[in-house]
Amino acid sequence: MAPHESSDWGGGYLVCRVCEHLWAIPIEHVQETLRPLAVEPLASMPPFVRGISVIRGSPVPVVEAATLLASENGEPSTRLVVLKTGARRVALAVQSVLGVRTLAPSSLQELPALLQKANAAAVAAIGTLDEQLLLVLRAARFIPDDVWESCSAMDAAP
Amino acid sequence: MNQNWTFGRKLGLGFFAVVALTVVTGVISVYALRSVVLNKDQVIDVEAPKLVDVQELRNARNEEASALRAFLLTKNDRYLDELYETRSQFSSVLERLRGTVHFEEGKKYLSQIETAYKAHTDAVDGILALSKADTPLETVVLAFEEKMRPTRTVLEDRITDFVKFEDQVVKQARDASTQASANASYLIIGVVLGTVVVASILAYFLARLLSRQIGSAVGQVQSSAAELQAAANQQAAGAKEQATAMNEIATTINELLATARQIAESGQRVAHIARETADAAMSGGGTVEKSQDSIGGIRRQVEQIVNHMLDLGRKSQEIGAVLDIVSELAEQTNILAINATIEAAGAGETGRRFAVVADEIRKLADRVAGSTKEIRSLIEDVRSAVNTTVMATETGSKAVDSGSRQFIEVASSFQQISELVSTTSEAAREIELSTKQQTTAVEQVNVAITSVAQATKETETSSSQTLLTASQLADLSKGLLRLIVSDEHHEHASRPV
Repeated sequence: MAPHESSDWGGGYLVCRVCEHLWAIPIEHVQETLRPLAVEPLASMPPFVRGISVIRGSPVPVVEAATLLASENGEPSTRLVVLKTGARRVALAVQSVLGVRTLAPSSLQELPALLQKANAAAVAAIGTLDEQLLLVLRAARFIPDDVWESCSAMDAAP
Repeated sequence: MNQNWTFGRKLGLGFFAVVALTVVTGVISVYALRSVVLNKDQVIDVEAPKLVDVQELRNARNEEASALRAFLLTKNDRYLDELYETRSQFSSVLERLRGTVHFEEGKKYLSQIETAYKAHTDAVDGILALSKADTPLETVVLAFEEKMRPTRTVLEDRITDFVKFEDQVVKQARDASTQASANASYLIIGVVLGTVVVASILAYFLARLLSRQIGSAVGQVQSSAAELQAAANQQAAGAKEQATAMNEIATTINELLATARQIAESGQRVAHIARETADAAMSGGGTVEKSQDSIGGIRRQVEQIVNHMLDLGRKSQEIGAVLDIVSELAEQTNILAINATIEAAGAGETGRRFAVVADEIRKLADRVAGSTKEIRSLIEDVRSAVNTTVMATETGSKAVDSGSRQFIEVASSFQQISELVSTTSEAAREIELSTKQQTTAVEQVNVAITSVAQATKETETSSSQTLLTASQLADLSKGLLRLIVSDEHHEHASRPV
């Protein structure tokens, strides 16, 4: 199932801090925020996936946001942002959650051409918020499909 | 003669021999003189009085004649008494002469005188009878001329004969005395000559013996004089060096005396300063004890501060615990507000107002969280300050304890200082006393050195005098040697033995 994409940049976003960047996640893909939980690492997982946490009775993959777009390891994550795309859920470990913001479309712009090849799958647009760089994520894209499949396999297991 | 006899003994023996010969000579002379004197006395005392007695016989006869004439002229009995008295006198003189004459011829002359005097008295008595019978004067004168004159002439002749005899006897006695005197003179001359010969022989042997011994002694005296001269020279040189050394010693002792006086004054000042220091140390000890009490008070205050600070730290920890709860609540509130906002966003238009409230709650929670962080930071600052203060206070307490101990040590040190200063004061007093005694001793030594220097000068003078005396002794020995040794033997004898 293809993730939901929106061409309209207006609306609410959950703004998080990952390293020195601000991430804006569309509010419709956010289920909740919570404190980090116990993570069960799995074999053969990408480096940005820390493991599986059981959130509200269901295993949810935990993705390290800092290593998702950058290889740097900054401050430890203090929040988990549970994203949902259809029936799938994924927990994004961020350093902090600033809150829900309503971004004006004029403050956003598409990713420059030179950067599209590198981050087109995860970053939908860029902008500034309070003089800081803001990356608008594609919530359904920056999780690889094999991760989703692994999570689905775990869900299917009894 | 024994060679071991002393010089005086030999001289004494020689003089004794001479004196003995002199005594013998004197005895012989006295004996001869006594013999001469006896002979002279014999002449003078025995023979000469006979002549006087003869003269008295003549006088008695003359006085008898005078008394007779006076009686014949005056008929006065007084003259008659005188006449009889002269007869008695004549008889006694004649009897005395008879006792002193020992020669038979002299006794014969005396008998003849007595006979002649008998005839003469008979003639006188006849004349007296004529006169008493008032015979005419012419008859009496005639009788006087015819009877008495011849008897008188015979008597005078007999007396003259006796006088001649006695003159011859006196002459013989005088000649015998003169012969005895000559014999005594010859004897004395012989004895004197013998004495001279013996004395000369003794003098010769004594002179020879004593010259030999005196020469040897003079040689030894010369040698000793030379040695004495050399010793006197050395002694004089030594005395000069000693006088120089004594002057240097006197100068040094004067400097030492001045130094000792300075030391005594310094010791006195040190004793005074030590007493002042002892007083200051005792005052310092009192001040240290007061400071120790003050430090005790400070230490108690510091302990109270430490306790308060520890309480403050515990309170801060308690505040931190409360703040953790508040922070936890704020964080939970933040999460809940965000989730509420998310839920409100999913609720559409109806949830928009709730989203506003939830966002305000989130902001409030953020502010609470921020405030909590600030409070935590402040609390950390307070705890850090408290810890720092506690550590500083503990350090201060330790410093106070150390200071207290050091004050105790300082007090002990002050006590020791006081005791040491007392000891120092006592030592300074002893030094002062000792130095005064030393000064007195040095003064006495100075006086003694001055006396020694004076004695050295006197020794130098005495050495010079000794040298002079030695020279004079050498000259005297040479002169003495010349007196006893001939010139040709002088060189040989003057050599040192």
